[in-house]
Amino acid sequence: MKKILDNPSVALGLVIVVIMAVPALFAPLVSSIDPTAMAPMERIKPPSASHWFGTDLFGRDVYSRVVHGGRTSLLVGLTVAAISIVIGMVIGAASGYIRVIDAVVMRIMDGLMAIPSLLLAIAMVSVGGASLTSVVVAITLPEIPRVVRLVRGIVLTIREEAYVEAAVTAGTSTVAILWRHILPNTIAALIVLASYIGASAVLTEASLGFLGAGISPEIPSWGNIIAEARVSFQIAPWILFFPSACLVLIVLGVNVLGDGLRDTLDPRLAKKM
Amino acid sequence: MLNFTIRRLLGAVPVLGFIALFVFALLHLAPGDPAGIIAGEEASPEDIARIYEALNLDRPLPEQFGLWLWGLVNGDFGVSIYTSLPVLELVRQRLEPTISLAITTIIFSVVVAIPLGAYAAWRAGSLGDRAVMIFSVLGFSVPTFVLGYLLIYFFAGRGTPFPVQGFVSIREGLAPFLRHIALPTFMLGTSYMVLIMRITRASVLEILNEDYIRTARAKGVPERKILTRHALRNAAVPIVTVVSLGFAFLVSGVVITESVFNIPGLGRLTVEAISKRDYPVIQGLILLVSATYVLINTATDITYAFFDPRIRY
Repeated sequence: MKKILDNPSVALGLVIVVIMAVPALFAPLVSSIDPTAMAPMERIKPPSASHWFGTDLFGRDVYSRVVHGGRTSLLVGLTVAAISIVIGMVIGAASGYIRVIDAVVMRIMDGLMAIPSLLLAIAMVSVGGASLTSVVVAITLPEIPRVVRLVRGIVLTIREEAYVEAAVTAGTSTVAILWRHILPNTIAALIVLASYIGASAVLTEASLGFLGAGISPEIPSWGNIIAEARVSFQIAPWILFFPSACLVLIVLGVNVLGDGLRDTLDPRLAKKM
Repeated sequence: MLNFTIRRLLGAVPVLGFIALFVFALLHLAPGDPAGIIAGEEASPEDIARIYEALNLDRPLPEQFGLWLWGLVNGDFGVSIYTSLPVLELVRQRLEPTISLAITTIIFSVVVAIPLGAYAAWRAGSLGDRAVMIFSVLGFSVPTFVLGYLLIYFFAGRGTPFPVQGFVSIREGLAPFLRHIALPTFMLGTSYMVLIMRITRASVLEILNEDYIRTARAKGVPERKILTRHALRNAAVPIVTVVSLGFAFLVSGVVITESVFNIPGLGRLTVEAISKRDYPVIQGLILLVSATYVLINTATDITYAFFDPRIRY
Protein backbone atom coordinates (compact mmCIF):
# COMPACT_ATOMS: atom_id res chain seq x y z
CA MET A 1 0.00 0.00 0.00
CA LYS A 2 2.82 2.36 0.96
CA LYS A 3 4.55 1.53 -2.29
CA ILE A 4 1.44 2.33 -4.29
CA LEU A 5 1.00 5.71 -2.58
CA ASP A 6 4.65 6.56 -3.25
CA ASN A 7 3.92 6.71 -6.96
CA PRO A 8 3.56 10.44 -7.79
CA SER A 9 0.71 9.81 -10.26
CA VAL A 10 -1.30 7.86 -7.71
CA ALA A 11 -0.78 10.52 -5.07
CA LEU A 12 -1.64 13.42 -7.42
CA GLY A 13 -4.67 11.62 -8.86
CA LEU A 14 -5.94 10.72 -5.42
CA VAL A 15 -5.58 14.31 -4.18
CA ILE A 16 -7.52 15.69 -7.18
CA VAL A 17 -10.26 13.07 -6.85
CA VAL A 18 -10.68 13.68 -3.12
CA ILE A 19 -10.79 17.46 -3.54
CA MET A 20 -13.45 17.11 -6.22
CA ALA A 21 -15.46 14.34 -4.57
CA VAL A 22 -15.71 15.64 -1.00
CA PRO A 23 -17.89 18.71 -1.81
CA ALA A 24 -20.11 16.55 -3.98
CA LEU A 25 -20.42 13.97 -1.22
CA PHE A 26 -21.42 16.55 1.35
CA ALA A 27 -23.38 18.72 -1.10
CA PRO A 28 -26.18 19.78 1.32
CA LEU A 29 -23.58 20.90 3.90
CA VAL A 30 -21.30 22.72 1.48
CA SER A 31 -24.07 24.64 -0.18
CA SER A 32 -27.05 25.92 1.73
CA ILE A 33 -28.83 27.19 -1.38
CA ASP A 34 -31.41 24.88 -2.97
CA PRO A 35 -30.03 23.94 -6.41
CA THR A 36 -33.52 24.02 -7.91
CA ALA A 37 -34.72 27.27 -6.30
CA MET A 38 -35.45 29.83 -9.01
CA ALA A 39 -34.97 33.55 -8.37
CA PRO A 40 -36.23 35.64 -11.33
CA MET A 41 -34.60 38.83 -9.99
CA GLU A 42 -31.21 37.15 -9.84
CA ARG A 43 -31.11 35.84 -13.43
CA ILE A 44 -27.81 35.54 -15.31
CA LYS A 45 -25.57 37.15 -12.70
CA PRO A 46 -21.80 36.68 -13.11
CA PRO A 47 -19.85 35.10 -10.24
CA SER A 48 -19.96 37.19 -7.04
CA ALA A 49 -19.58 36.81 -3.27
CA SER A 50 -23.18 35.64 -2.83
CA HIS A 51 -23.16 33.39 -5.90
CA TRP A 52 -19.64 32.00 -6.26
CA PHE A 53 -20.25 30.54 -9.71
CA GLY A 54 -22.92 33.10 -10.74
CA THR A 55 -26.54 32.30 -11.53
CA ASP A 56 -28.21 30.68 -14.55
CA LEU A 57 -31.14 31.62 -16.81
CA PHE A 58 -33.66 30.88 -14.05
CA GLY A 59 -31.66 32.61 -11.33
CA ARG A 60 -30.56 29.31 -9.81
CA ASP A 61 -27.22 29.26 -7.99
CA VAL A 62 -24.68 27.63 -10.30
CA TYR A 63 -22.30 26.69 -7.46
CA SER A 64 -25.03 24.81 -5.69
CA ARG A 65 -26.10 23.11 -8.93
CA VAL A 66 -22.54 22.09 -9.73
CA VAL A 67 -21.99 20.64 -6.26
CA HIS A 68 -25.28 18.74 -6.31
CA GLY A 69 -24.76 17.77 -9.93
CA GLY A 70 -21.41 16.31 -8.94
CA ARG A 71 -23.23 13.79 -6.77
CA THR A 72 -25.22 12.55 -9.72
CA SER A 73 -22.21 12.45 -12.04
CA LEU A 74 -20.00 10.63 -9.53
CA LEU A 75 -22.83 8.23 -8.71
CA VAL A 76 -23.11 7.44 -12.44
CA GLY A 77 -19.33 6.93 -12.71
CA LEU A 78 -19.13 4.61 -9.69
CA THR A 79 -22.23 2.59 -10.56
CA VAL A 80 -21.21 2.10 -14.17
CA ALA A 81 -17.69 1.03 -13.15
CA ALA A 82 -18.97 -1.40 -10.52
CA ILE A 83 -21.70 -3.01 -12.62
CA SER A 84 -19.65 -3.36 -15.78
CA ILE A 85 -16.69 -4.87 -13.89
CA VAL A 86 -18.88 -7.44 -12.11
CA ILE A 87 -20.87 -8.47 -15.18
CA GLY A 88 -17.80 -8.37 -17.43
CA MET A 89 -15.80 -10.46 -14.97
CA VAL A 90 -18.44 -13.21 -14.82
CA ILE A 91 -18.90 -13.32 -18.61
CA GLY A 92 -15.17 -13.05 -19.28
CA ALA A 93 -14.25 -15.80 -16.83
CA ALA A 94 -16.94 -18.12 -18.18
CA SER A 95 -15.98 -17.38 -21.76
CA GLY A 96 -12.27 -17.88 -21.16
CA TYR A 97 -12.66 -21.08 -19.18
CA ILE A 98 -15.59 -22.84 -20.79
CA ARG A 99 -14.71 -23.48 -24.42
CA VAL A 100 -18.27 -24.21 -25.64
CA ILE A 101 -19.68 -20.76 -24.99
CA ASP A 102 -16.55 -18.84 -25.94
CA ALA A 103 -17.20 -18.46 -29.67
CA VAL A 104 -20.80 -17.29 -29.23
CA VAL A 105 -20.03 -14.89 -26.38
CA MET A 106 -17.10 -13.34 -28.21
CA ARG A 107 -19.14 -12.76 -31.40
CA ILE A 108 -21.78 -11.00 -29.29
CA MET A 109 -19.06 -8.89 -27.65
CA ASP A 110 -17.58 -8.05 -31.08
CA GLY A 111 -21.05 -6.97 -32.16
CA LEU A 112 -21.52 -4.78 -29.09
CA MET A 113 -18.09 -3.25 -29.53
CA ALA A 114 -18.82 -2.43 -33.16
CA ILE A 115 -21.69 -0.13 -32.19
CA PRO A 116 -20.14 3.23 -31.26
CA SER A 117 -20.79 3.62 -27.53
CA LEU A 118 -22.28 7.10 -27.67
CA LEU A 119 -24.72 6.12 -30.46
CA LEU A 120 -25.71 3.01 -28.51
CA ALA A 121 -26.23 5.05 -25.37
CA ILE A 122 -28.35 7.76 -27.00
CA ALA A 123 -30.44 5.17 -28.79
CA MET A 124 -31.05 3.33 -25.50
CA VAL A 125 -31.91 6.50 -23.62
CA SER A 126 -34.30 7.51 -26.39
CA VAL A 127 -36.07 4.17 -25.97
CA GLY A 128 -35.84 3.82 -22.19
CA GLY A 129 -36.58 7.41 -21.18
CA ALA A 130 -34.44 10.04 -19.48
CA SER A 131 -34.24 8.39 -16.05
CA LEU A 132 -31.06 7.87 -14.03
CA THR A 133 -31.44 4.10 -14.37
CA SER A 134 -31.69 4.09 -18.14
CA VAL A 135 -28.69 6.42 -18.44
CA VAL A 136 -26.64 4.09 -16.23
CA VAL A 137 -27.72 1.03 -18.24
CA ALA A 138 -27.04 2.81 -21.52
CA ILE A 139 -23.50 3.76 -20.45
CA THR A 140 -22.76 0.37 -18.85
CA LEU A 141 -23.67 -1.84 -21.78
CA PRO A 142 -20.97 -0.62 -24.21
CA GLU A 143 -18.32 -0.84 -21.43
CA ILE A 144 -18.93 -4.54 -20.70
CA PRO A 145 -17.07 -5.94 -23.76
CA ARG A 146 -13.87 -4.14 -22.69
CA VAL A 147 -13.97 -5.93 -19.34
CA VAL A 148 -14.90 -9.26 -20.92
CA ARG A 149 -11.98 -9.13 -23.34
CA LEU A 150 -9.47 -8.23 -20.65
CA VAL A 151 -10.65 -10.91 -18.20
CA ARG A 152 -10.92 -13.55 -20.92
CA GLY A 153 -7.37 -12.81 -22.07
CA ILE A 154 -5.97 -13.27 -18.57
CA VAL A 155 -8.06 -16.40 -17.93
CA LEU A 156 -6.83 -17.97 -21.17
CA THR A 157 -3.20 -17.72 -20.01
CA ILE A 158 -3.82 -18.66 -16.38
CA ARG A 159 -5.85 -21.78 -17.20
CA GLU A 160 -2.71 -23.36 -18.66
CA GLU A 161 -0.78 -22.92 -15.38
CA ALA A 162 0.31 -26.02 -13.50
CA TYR A 163 -1.61 -25.11 -10.34
CA VAL A 164 -4.87 -24.95 -12.27
CA GLU A 165 -4.16 -28.34 -13.81
CA ALA A 166 -3.41 -29.68 -10.33
CA ALA A 167 -6.72 -28.34 -9.06
CA VAL A 168 -8.57 -29.95 -11.97
CA THR A 169 -6.87 -33.28 -11.25
CA ALA A 170 -7.77 -32.99 -7.59
CA GLY A 171 -11.40 -32.76 -8.62
CA THR A 172 -12.03 -29.12 -7.63
CA SER A 173 -15.28 -27.82 -9.11
CA THR A 174 -15.12 -25.38 -12.05
CA VAL A 175 -16.67 -22.56 -10.03
CA ALA A 176 -14.15 -23.05 -7.23
CA ILE A 177 -11.23 -23.08 -9.68
CA LEU A 178 -12.42 -19.86 -11.27
CA TRP A 179 -13.11 -18.15 -7.97
CA ARG A 180 -10.08 -19.29 -5.99
CA HIS A 181 -7.35 -19.81 -8.57
CA ILE A 182 -8.13 -17.76 -11.65
CA LEU A 183 -10.06 -14.61 -10.75
CA PRO A 184 -7.57 -13.33 -8.14
CA ASN A 185 -5.12 -12.92 -11.04
CA THR A 186 -7.43 -10.45 -12.74
CA ILE A 187 -7.84 -8.07 -9.80
CA ALA A 188 -4.91 -5.74 -10.54
CA ALA A 189 -6.00 -5.28 -14.14
CA LEU A 190 -9.64 -4.80 -13.13
CA ILE A 191 -8.83 -2.08 -10.58
CA VAL A 192 -7.03 -0.13 -13.29
CA LEU A 193 -9.76 -0.72 -15.86
CA ALA A 194 -12.44 0.29 -13.32
CA SER A 195 -10.79 3.69 -12.93
CA TYR A 196 -10.75 4.23 -16.71
CA ILE A 197 -14.37 3.10 -17.03
CA GLY A 198 -15.45 5.39 -14.20
CA ALA A 199 -13.76 8.37 -15.86
CA SER A 200 -15.24 7.59 -19.24
CA ALA A 201 -18.71 7.08 -17.72
CA VAL A 202 -18.63 10.57 -16.17
CA LEU A 203 -17.63 11.93 -19.59
CA THR A 204 -20.33 9.97 -21.41
CA GLU A 205 -23.00 11.15 -18.96
CA ALA A 206 -21.94 14.72 -19.71
CA SER A 207 -21.89 14.07 -23.47
CA LEU A 208 -25.37 12.54 -23.34
CA GLY A 209 -26.62 15.53 -21.40
CA PHE A 210 -24.93 17.83 -23.87
CA LEU A 211 -26.80 16.16 -26.76
CA GLY A 212 -30.09 16.39 -24.87
CA ALA A 213 -30.30 12.65 -24.26
CA GLY A 214 -29.28 12.60 -20.61
CA ILE A 215 -30.86 12.62 -17.18
CA SER A 216 -33.95 14.85 -17.04
CA PRO A 217 -33.26 18.36 -15.67
CA GLU A 218 -35.09 17.99 -12.31
CA ILE A 219 -32.05 16.13 -10.97
CA PRO A 220 -29.01 18.35 -11.60
CA SER A 221 -26.06 16.53 -13.15
CA TRP A 222 -23.01 18.02 -14.83
CA GLY A 223 -24.39 16.73 -18.12
CA ASN A 224 -27.69 18.55 -17.95
CA ILE A 225 -26.22 21.73 -16.41
CA ILE A 226 -23.87 21.86 -19.39
CA ALA A 227 -26.75 21.11 -21.77
CA GLU A 228 -28.79 24.03 -20.42
CA ALA A 229 -25.75 26.31 -20.43
CA ARG A 230 -25.25 25.84 -24.17
CA VAL A 231 -28.14 28.14 -25.02
CA SER A 232 -26.79 31.08 -23.05
CA PHE A 233 -23.13 30.36 -23.72
CA GLN A 234 -22.42 33.65 -25.52
CA ILE A 235 -23.97 35.87 -22.84
CA ALA A 236 -23.21 33.78 -19.74
CA PRO A 237 -20.13 31.61 -20.33
CA TRP A 238 -19.67 30.96 -16.58
CA ILE A 239 -22.67 28.60 -16.47
CA LEU A 240 -20.83 26.38 -18.92
CA PHE A 241 -17.36 27.03 -17.54
CA PHE A 242 -17.72 25.82 -13.94
CA PRO A 243 -19.33 22.42 -14.50
CA SER A 244 -16.97 21.83 -17.44
CA ALA A 245 -13.93 22.68 -15.32
CA CYS A 246 -15.09 20.29 -12.59
CA LEU A 247 -15.67 17.61 -15.20
CA VAL A 248 -12.18 18.06 -16.65
CA LEU A 249 -10.58 18.02 -13.19
CA ILE A 250 -12.27 14.89 -11.91
CA VAL A 251 -11.71 12.97 -15.15
CA LEU A 252 -8.10 14.11 -15.18
CA GLY A 253 -7.70 13.03 -11.55
CA VAL A 254 -9.16 9.59 -12.15
CA ASN A 255 -7.11 9.07 -15.32
CA VAL A 256 -3.87 10.10 -13.61
CA LEU A 257 -4.75 7.81 -10.71
CA GLY A 258 -5.47 4.98 -13.16
CA ASP A 259 -2.16 5.47 -14.98
CA GLY A 260 -0.30 5.48 -11.68
CA LEU A 261 -2.05 2.33 -10.45
CA ARG A 262 -1.29 0.65 -13.74
CA ASP A 263 2.40 1.47 -13.49
CA THR A 264 2.72 0.25 -9.90
CA LEU A 265 0.39 -2.78 -10.03
CA ASP A 266 1.30 -4.19 -13.40
CA PRO A 267 3.33 -2.19 -15.96
CA ARG A 268 2.62 -4.77 -18.68
CA LEU A 269 -0.99 -3.56 -18.77
CA ALA A 270 0.04 -0.42 -20.64
CA LYS A 271 -0.28 -2.23 -23.94
CA LYS A 272 -3.58 -3.93 -23.18
CA MET A 273 -5.69 -0.90 -22.37
CA MET B 1 -4.18 -16.05 -48.43
CA LEU B 2 -7.48 -16.38 -50.33
CA ASN B 3 -8.60 -18.95 -47.80
CA PHE B 4 -7.79 -16.59 -44.94
CA THR B 5 -9.58 -13.67 -46.63
CA ILE B 6 -12.73 -15.72 -47.11
CA ARG B 7 -12.59 -16.99 -43.54
CA ARG B 8 -12.27 -13.46 -42.14
CA LEU B 9 -15.11 -12.17 -44.32
CA LEU B 10 -17.36 -15.04 -43.25
CA GLY B 11 -16.40 -14.35 -39.64
CA ALA B 12 -17.86 -10.86 -39.97
CA VAL B 13 -21.31 -12.25 -40.88
CA PRO B 14 -22.42 -13.42 -37.39
CA VAL B 15 -21.20 -10.13 -35.91
CA LEU B 16 -23.27 -8.18 -38.43
CA GLY B 17 -26.21 -10.51 -37.71
CA PHE B 18 -25.97 -9.79 -33.99
CA ILE B 19 -25.87 -6.04 -34.64
CA ALA B 20 -28.98 -6.31 -36.81
CA LEU B 21 -30.78 -8.32 -34.13
CA PHE B 22 -29.80 -5.81 -31.46
CA VAL B 23 -30.93 -2.81 -33.49
CA PHE B 24 -34.20 -4.57 -34.27
CA ALA B 25 -34.73 -5.48 -30.61
CA LEU B 26 -34.05 -1.90 -29.50
CA LEU B 27 -37.47 -0.71 -30.63
CA HIS B 28 -39.27 -3.76 -29.29
CA LEU B 29 -37.56 -3.75 -25.90
CA ALA B 30 -39.04 -0.35 -25.15
CA PRO B 31 -42.00 -0.38 -22.79
CA GLY B 32 -45.29 0.17 -24.59
CA ASP B 33 -46.41 -0.13 -28.17
CA PRO B 34 -43.65 0.60 -30.75
CA ALA B 35 -46.07 2.48 -32.98
CA GLY B 36 -47.22 4.54 -29.98
CA ILE B 37 -43.59 5.37 -29.09
CA ILE B 38 -42.84 6.49 -32.62
CA ALA B 39 -46.03 8.47 -33.12
CA GLY B 40 -45.81 10.30 -29.81
CA GLU B 41 -48.58 11.24 -27.39
CA GLU B 42 -50.76 13.31 -29.71
CA ALA B 43 -50.98 10.74 -32.50
CA SER B 44 -54.29 10.01 -34.19
CA PRO B 45 -55.39 6.40 -34.76
CA GLU B 46 -54.64 6.93 -38.47
CA ASP B 47 -51.02 7.83 -37.71
CA ILE B 48 -50.67 4.68 -35.62
CA ALA B 49 -52.22 2.57 -38.38
CA ARG B 50 -49.85 4.09 -40.94
CA ILE B 51 -46.83 3.25 -38.78
CA TYR B 52 -48.14 -0.29 -38.20
CA GLU B 53 -48.39 -0.70 -41.95
CA ALA B 54 -44.93 0.77 -42.66
CA LEU B 55 -43.11 -1.39 -40.11
CA ASN B 56 -45.17 -4.59 -40.52
CA LEU B 57 -45.96 -4.39 -36.81
CA ASP B 58 -49.11 -6.50 -37.17
CA ARG B 59 -47.09 -9.60 -38.00
CA PRO B 60 -45.36 -12.02 -35.59
CA LEU B 61 -41.95 -10.85 -34.36
CA PRO B 62 -39.74 -13.41 -36.18
CA GLU B 63 -41.55 -12.60 -39.43
CA GLN B 64 -41.07 -8.86 -38.82
CA PHE B 65 -37.37 -9.45 -38.26
CA GLY B 66 -37.14 -11.60 -41.39
CA LEU B 67 -38.89 -9.02 -43.55
CA TRP B 68 -36.77 -6.23 -42.14
CA LEU B 69 -33.55 -8.17 -42.64
CA TRP B 70 -34.56 -9.06 -46.20
CA GLY B 71 -35.16 -5.39 -46.85
CA LEU B 72 -31.69 -4.51 -45.48
CA VAL B 73 -30.01 -7.10 -47.69
CA ASN B 74 -31.79 -5.53 -50.67
CA GLY B 75 -30.67 -2.05 -49.67
CA ASP B 76 -34.02 -1.04 -48.21
CA PHE B 77 -33.33 0.64 -44.86
CA GLY B 78 -36.88 1.83 -44.43
CA VAL B 79 -38.47 5.25 -44.71
CA SER B 80 -38.09 8.16 -42.31
CA ILE B 81 -41.33 8.74 -40.42
CA TYR B 82 -40.97 12.53 -40.39
CA THR B 83 -39.62 13.36 -43.81
CA SER B 84 -41.07 10.33 -45.66
CA LEU B 85 -37.71 10.04 -47.45
CA PRO B 86 -35.87 6.72 -47.67
CA VAL B 87 -33.26 6.45 -44.89
CA LEU B 88 -30.49 5.82 -47.41
CA GLU B 89 -31.40 9.02 -49.28
CA LEU B 90 -31.23 11.04 -46.04
CA VAL B 91 -27.85 9.50 -45.28
CA ARG B 92 -26.58 10.28 -48.78
CA GLN B 93 -27.56 13.94 -48.43
CA ARG B 94 -25.64 14.24 -45.14
CA LEU B 95 -22.63 12.11 -46.02
CA GLU B 96 -20.25 14.69 -47.45
CA PRO B 97 -19.63 16.93 -44.41
CA THR B 98 -19.08 13.93 -42.16
CA ILE B 99 -16.69 12.17 -44.53
CA SER B 100 -14.77 15.43 -45.07
CA LEU B 101 -14.47 15.97 -41.32
CA ALA B 102 -13.40 12.37 -40.73
CA ILE B 103 -10.68 12.56 -43.39
CA THR B 104 -9.24 15.90 -42.26
CA THR B 105 -9.31 14.65 -38.66
CA ILE B 106 -7.49 11.41 -39.45
CA ILE B 107 -4.82 13.24 -41.49
CA PHE B 108 -4.34 15.91 -38.83
CA SER B 109 -4.15 13.41 -35.95
CA VAL B 110 -1.82 10.96 -37.66
CA VAL B 111 0.54 13.69 -38.88
CA VAL B 112 0.86 15.19 -35.40
CA ALA B 113 0.62 12.05 -33.27
CA ILE B 114 3.13 9.69 -34.86
CA PRO B 115 6.16 12.03 -34.83
CA LEU B 116 5.36 13.22 -31.29
CA GLY B 117 4.77 9.66 -30.02
CA ALA B 118 7.96 8.38 -31.66
CA TYR B 119 9.95 11.31 -30.31
CA ALA B 120 8.62 10.73 -26.78
CA ALA B 121 9.64 7.07 -26.97
CA TRP B 122 13.08 7.91 -28.37
CA ARG B 123 13.73 10.40 -25.58
CA ALA B 124 11.80 8.50 -22.91
CA GLY B 125 12.01 10.21 -19.52
CA SER B 126 13.17 13.52 -20.96
CA LEU B 127 11.39 16.83 -20.53
CA GLY B 128 9.95 16.50 -24.06
CA ASP B 129 8.57 13.07 -23.23
CA ARG B 130 7.03 14.39 -20.02
CA ALA B 131 5.38 17.22 -21.98
CA VAL B 132 3.95 14.76 -24.50
CA MET B 133 2.62 12.53 -21.72
CA ILE B 134 1.03 15.43 -19.85
CA PHE B 135 -0.57 16.60 -23.07
CA SER B 136 -1.87 13.09 -23.68
CA VAL B 137 -3.52 12.83 -20.26
CA LEU B 138 -5.02 16.31 -20.72
CA GLY B 139 -6.31 15.44 -24.19
CA PHE B 140 -7.95 12.36 -22.74
CA SER B 141 -9.66 14.20 -19.95
CA VAL B 142 -10.99 17.31 -21.69
CA PRO B 143 -14.36 16.41 -23.19
CA THR B 144 -14.61 17.27 -26.88
CA PHE B 145 -17.49 19.67 -26.35
CA VAL B 146 -15.58 21.64 -23.71
CA LEU B 147 -12.70 22.03 -26.13
CA GLY B 148 -15.18 23.03 -28.85
CA TYR B 149 -16.72 25.76 -26.71
CA LEU B 150 -13.30 27.04 -25.72
CA LEU B 151 -12.48 27.35 -29.43
CA ILE B 152 -15.76 29.13 -30.12
CA TYR B 153 -15.15 31.44 -27.17
CA PHE B 154 -11.73 32.45 -28.47
CA PHE B 155 -12.53 32.56 -32.18
CA ALA B 156 -16.14 33.78 -32.49
CA GLY B 157 -16.64 37.38 -33.56
CA ARG B 158 -12.99 38.39 -33.31
CA GLY B 159 -12.36 38.75 -37.02
CA THR B 160 -10.31 35.57 -37.25
CA PRO B 161 -10.27 33.71 -40.55
CA PHE B 162 -11.88 30.64 -38.92
CA PRO B 163 -15.70 30.70 -38.82
CA VAL B 164 -17.27 28.82 -35.91
CA GLN B 165 -20.41 27.78 -37.78
CA GLY B 166 -21.34 25.61 -40.71
CA PHE B 167 -19.64 23.71 -43.47
CA VAL B 168 -18.41 24.57 -46.98
CA SER B 169 -17.96 21.85 -49.56
CA ILE B 170 -14.48 21.32 -51.00
CA ARG B 171 -16.01 21.88 -54.45
CA GLU B 172 -16.40 25.55 -53.54
CA GLY B 173 -12.66 25.94 -53.21
CA LEU B 174 -9.94 24.54 -51.00
CA ALA B 175 -9.33 27.71 -48.96
CA PRO B 176 -12.92 28.27 -47.73
CA PHE B 177 -13.27 24.52 -47.13
CA LEU B 178 -10.16 24.43 -44.95
CA ARG B 179 -11.08 27.62 -43.09
CA HIS B 180 -14.47 26.19 -42.11
CA ILE B 181 -13.24 22.75 -41.19
CA ALA B 182 -10.12 23.84 -39.26
CA LEU B 183 -11.70 24.32 -35.82
CA PRO B 184 -13.96 21.22 -35.95
CA THR B 185 -10.95 19.18 -37.06
CA PHE B 186 -8.88 20.50 -34.19
CA MET B 187 -11.67 19.78 -31.72
CA LEU B 188 -12.34 16.25 -32.93
CA GLY B 189 -8.69 15.50 -33.68
CA THR B 190 -7.29 16.24 -30.24
CA SER B 191 -8.67 13.20 -28.44
CA TYR B 192 -8.06 10.92 -31.44
CA MET B 193 -4.51 12.24 -31.71
CA VAL B 194 -3.84 11.46 -28.04
CA LEU B 195 -5.02 7.89 -28.55
CA ILE B 196 -2.63 7.36 -31.47
CA MET B 197 0.20 9.13 -29.67
CA ARG B 198 -0.02 6.87 -26.61
CA ILE B 199 0.08 3.69 -28.68
CA THR B 200 2.91 5.01 -30.86
CA ARG B 201 4.97 5.83 -27.79
CA ALA B 202 4.30 2.48 -26.11
CA SER B 203 5.04 0.42 -29.25
CA VAL B 204 8.16 2.32 -30.31
CA LEU B 205 9.48 2.21 -26.74
CA GLU B 206 9.14 -1.56 -26.70
CA ILE B 207 10.87 -1.98 -30.05
CA LEU B 208 13.75 0.34 -29.12
CA ASN B 209 14.69 -2.25 -26.47
CA GLU B 210 15.01 -5.05 -29.04
CA ASP B 211 18.37 -6.60 -29.87
CA TYR B 212 18.32 -5.56 -33.52
CA ILE B 213 18.11 -1.90 -32.51
CA ARG B 214 21.25 -2.36 -30.42
CA THR B 215 22.89 -4.06 -33.38
CA ALA B 216 21.89 -1.20 -35.66
CA ARG B 217 23.31 1.35 -33.19
CA ALA B 218 26.49 -0.69 -32.81
CA LYS B 219 27.12 -0.72 -36.52
CA GLY B 220 26.66 3.05 -36.62
CA VAL B 221 23.25 3.54 -38.24
CA PRO B 222 22.20 7.18 -37.67
CA GLU B 223 19.59 7.63 -34.90
CA ARG B 224 17.08 9.21 -37.24
CA LYS B 225 17.26 6.21 -39.53
CA ILE B 226 16.94 3.79 -36.61
CA LEU B 227 13.78 5.56 -35.56
CA THR B 228 12.13 5.66 -38.98
CA ARG B 229 13.49 2.52 -40.67
CA HIS B 230 13.68 0.11 -37.76
CA ALA B 231 11.46 1.25 -34.94
CA LEU B 232 8.46 2.92 -36.60
CA ARG B 233 8.17 0.34 -39.33
CA ASN B 234 7.99 -2.49 -36.81
CA ALA B 235 5.61 -0.57 -34.60
CA ALA B 236 3.23 -0.11 -37.54
CA VAL B 237 0.83 -2.94 -36.69
CA PRO B 238 -0.39 -1.65 -33.31
CA ILE B 239 -0.49 1.91 -34.67
CA VAL B 240 -2.60 0.94 -37.68
CA THR B 241 -4.84 -1.08 -35.36
CA VAL B 242 -5.52 1.87 -33.11
CA VAL B 243 -6.14 4.15 -36.09
CA SER B 244 -8.74 1.73 -37.43
CA LEU B 245 -10.23 0.83 -34.04
CA GLY B 246 -10.43 4.54 -33.35
CA PHE B 247 -13.15 4.74 -35.97
CA ALA B 248 -15.83 3.97 -33.35
CA PHE B 249 -14.32 6.65 -31.16
CA LEU B 250 -14.34 9.08 -34.08
CA VAL B 251 -18.04 8.46 -34.72
CA SER B 252 -19.02 9.40 -31.17
CA GLY B 253 -16.89 12.52 -31.48
CA VAL B 254 -18.42 13.44 -34.84
CA VAL B 255 -21.90 13.51 -33.31
CA ILE B 256 -20.77 16.07 -30.72
CA THR B 257 -18.53 18.09 -33.03
CA GLU B 258 -21.24 18.54 -35.64
CA SER B 259 -23.61 19.58 -32.93
CA VAL B 260 -21.19 22.22 -31.55
CA PHE B 261 -20.19 23.69 -34.93
CA ASN B 262 -23.57 23.32 -36.64
CA ILE B 263 -22.31 21.04 -39.39
CA PRO B 264 -25.16 19.40 -41.34
CA GLY B 265 -23.69 15.89 -41.39
CA LEU B 266 -24.61 12.42 -40.17
CA GLY B 267 -24.00 13.34 -36.53
CA ARG B 268 -26.60 16.09 -36.64
CA LEU B 269 -28.93 13.73 -38.50
CA THR B 270 -28.56 11.26 -35.60
CA VAL B 271 -29.33 13.87 -32.96
CA GLU B 272 -32.32 15.15 -34.93
CA ALA B 273 -33.62 11.62 -35.49
CA ILE B 274 -33.32 10.88 -31.79
CA SER B 275 -35.06 14.04 -30.66
CA LYS B 276 -37.93 13.30 -33.08
CA ARG B 277 -37.89 9.57 -32.25
CA ASP B 278 -37.57 8.77 -35.93
CA TYR B 279 -36.74 5.12 -35.30
CA PRO B 280 -36.16 3.91 -38.86
CA VAL B 281 -33.51 6.63 -39.24
CA ILE B 282 -31.89 5.80 -35.86
CA GLN B 283 -31.84 2.09 -36.69
CA GLY B 284 -30.48 2.71 -40.17
CA LEU B 285 -27.70 4.99 -38.90
CA ILE B 286 -26.58 2.61 -36.13
CA LEU B 287 -26.57 -0.29 -38.60
CA LEU B 288 -24.63 1.56 -41.29
CA VAL B 289 -22.04 2.95 -38.88
CA SER B 290 -21.52 -0.39 -37.10
CA ALA B 291 -21.32 -2.32 -40.36
CA THR B 292 -18.71 0.15 -41.65
CA TYR B 293 -16.73 -0.39 -38.46
CA VAL B 294 -16.85 -4.19 -38.79
CA LEU B 295 -15.79 -3.96 -42.44
CA ILE B 296 -12.91 -1.58 -41.67
CA ASN B 297 -11.66 -3.98 -38.98
CA THR B 298 -11.96 -6.99 -41.24
CA ALA B 299 -10.12 -5.15 -44.00
CA THR B 300 -7.38 -4.15 -41.52
CA ASP B 301 -6.96 -7.80 -40.45
CA ILE B 302 -6.71 -8.95 -44.05
CA THR B 303 -4.17 -6.23 -44.85
CA TYR B 304 -1.96 -7.39 -41.96
CA ALA B 305 -2.00 -10.93 -43.23
CA PHE B 306 -1.11 -9.61 -46.65
CA PHE B 307 1.93 -7.71 -45.40
CA ASP B 308 2.97 -10.13 -42.67
CA PRO B 309 2.75 -13.82 -43.63
CA ARG B 310 3.14 -14.85 -39.99
CA ILE B 311 -0.34 -13.54 -39.17
CA ARG B 312 -2.86 -16.29 -39.80
CA TYR B 313 -5.23 -16.63 -36.89
